[in-house]
Amino acid sequence: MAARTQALYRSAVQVFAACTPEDLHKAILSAVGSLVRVDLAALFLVRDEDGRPVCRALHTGRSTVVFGATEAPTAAFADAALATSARPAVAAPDTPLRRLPPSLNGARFATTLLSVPIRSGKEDMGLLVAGRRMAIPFSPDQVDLLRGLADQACLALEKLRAMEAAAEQGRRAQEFVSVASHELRTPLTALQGFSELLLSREVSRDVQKSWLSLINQESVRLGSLIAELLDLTRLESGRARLSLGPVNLGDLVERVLSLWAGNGQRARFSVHVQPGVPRLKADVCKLTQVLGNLVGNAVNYSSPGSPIRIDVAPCCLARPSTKHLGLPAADGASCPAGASIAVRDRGIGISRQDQARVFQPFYRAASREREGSAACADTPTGAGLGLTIARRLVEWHGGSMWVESCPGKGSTFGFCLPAHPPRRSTCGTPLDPGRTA
Amino acid sequence: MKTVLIVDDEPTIRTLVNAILDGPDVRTIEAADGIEAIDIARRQQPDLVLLDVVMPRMDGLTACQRMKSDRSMARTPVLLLTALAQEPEQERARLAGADGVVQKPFSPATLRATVDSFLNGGTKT
Repeated sequence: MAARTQALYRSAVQVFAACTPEDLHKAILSAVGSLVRVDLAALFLVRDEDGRPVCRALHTGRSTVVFGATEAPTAAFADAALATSARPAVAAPDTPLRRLPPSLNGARFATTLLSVPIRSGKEDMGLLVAGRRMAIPFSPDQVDLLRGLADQACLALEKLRAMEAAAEQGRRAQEFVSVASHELRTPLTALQGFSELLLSREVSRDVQKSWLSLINQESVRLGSLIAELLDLTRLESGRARLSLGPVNLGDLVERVLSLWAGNGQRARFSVHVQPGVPRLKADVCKLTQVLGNLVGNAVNYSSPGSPIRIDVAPCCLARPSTKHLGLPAADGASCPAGASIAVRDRGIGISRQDQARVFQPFYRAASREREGSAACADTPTGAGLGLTIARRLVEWHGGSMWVESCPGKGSTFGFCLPAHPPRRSTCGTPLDPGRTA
Repeated sequence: MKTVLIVDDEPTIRTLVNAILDGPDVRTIEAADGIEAIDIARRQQPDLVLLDVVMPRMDGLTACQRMKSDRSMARTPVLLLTALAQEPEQERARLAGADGVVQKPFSPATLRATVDSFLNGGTKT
């Protein structure tokens, strides 16, 4: 008993000392070897993308091979190990192992396999596999030892995962600050530059006026950038609240479009509300902000006067192949549509490559300025956070956003909302940081 | 008369730099991104390129690298105008072959002096 405790203690020290996934995988396999006499040890971990366990490390007699994320060995081997994955068990002599590539020769000789699940609560994280050349079954004691090691491995894997998540969050925060400061410096450059020029040079009244109007434009931009940054920070930190009430989407569209009535733009818009659109429970101010952003982009990124169509429907308006953002399954099948709105313009469109990036903070379309810059001159340029915020707000309602676009032909931005937002939205739970674009 | 190519995706910044350099001894031409900048630089052979770093299509560092490895433009001095403040950016600018870096926001007087020193003898900053 004392020897067993000592062996498990030693394996714990080994396993918890590892700071990188590779070291940890090696340490786990080496611990298998020190706890039980084996000729083969393998570590399988469940892959995030498809939930399949793939081999991450393999120890055969003298050497340990650690596999990167992309180069897991044969599926046949995984299947062999999986056949016994439900509970610790001794597998029959396996034929699939004989199909291993020659580089893993040692593994071919295993005739007895034991696999122990690595499980955190109800979540399957992977498998620990031990194998022997001779047909000597593993004793109950040995099975227990490997179970103990599997528990240690589980904790160590979780520790490493948390460390990586924290490091990744730190990196993202740093990058965000760097980009945000870049965006703040740009309008500041104009403010400092033009004001110093005005103070140091004698220029005509017209020039003075044009410089002052640029100073004004850039101050407005700086102001809206700061407001958007604060908005986004509030959303990310979970301090924002949704104030829910019944919302009629048709009315919402009319309210947003009335903002453009003053510029004589109202005639550009056509609104099509399909019958049967339910009243939603939502935050009308936040939805106004979301739709206002989509409509504003449609106006800014298409030539003056070109038509903009707004559709409201009691179902999802995205094409079946369109990827919904912010949904676990990321497809139309899991679309939460109680209702949806789509804003379609005939503007410059977005390349496929850029479509993946439009919702990232500070993204701006490359060709905005080329396309009729005169038309946009009066519209203060957004800080590049509008779509990021809009998407977060929709996700907070339990909905999802999507984009469809064809360069040169136009873009459609849409969002789907469930009839009721999920409960967490009203009590201020932080958004999933993993969704940060 | 010397020619200065101003490259920035922000029209306001191009207007500003234009105003700063305005005078009888300097002619300015403009580009809105790295690709356009290389194209114009190759055809018009400016005496100095003022290059923004963060731009769509092609960023300033890449454009600088391309210019410096193109025989027809390799000797044209390139001054990076950057709003990216961190140390690694300065290092990347150096690696891209830039002849100098001016930090945004800048004072018009400083930019003018730096540009003049390049146009009148190619002093490195």
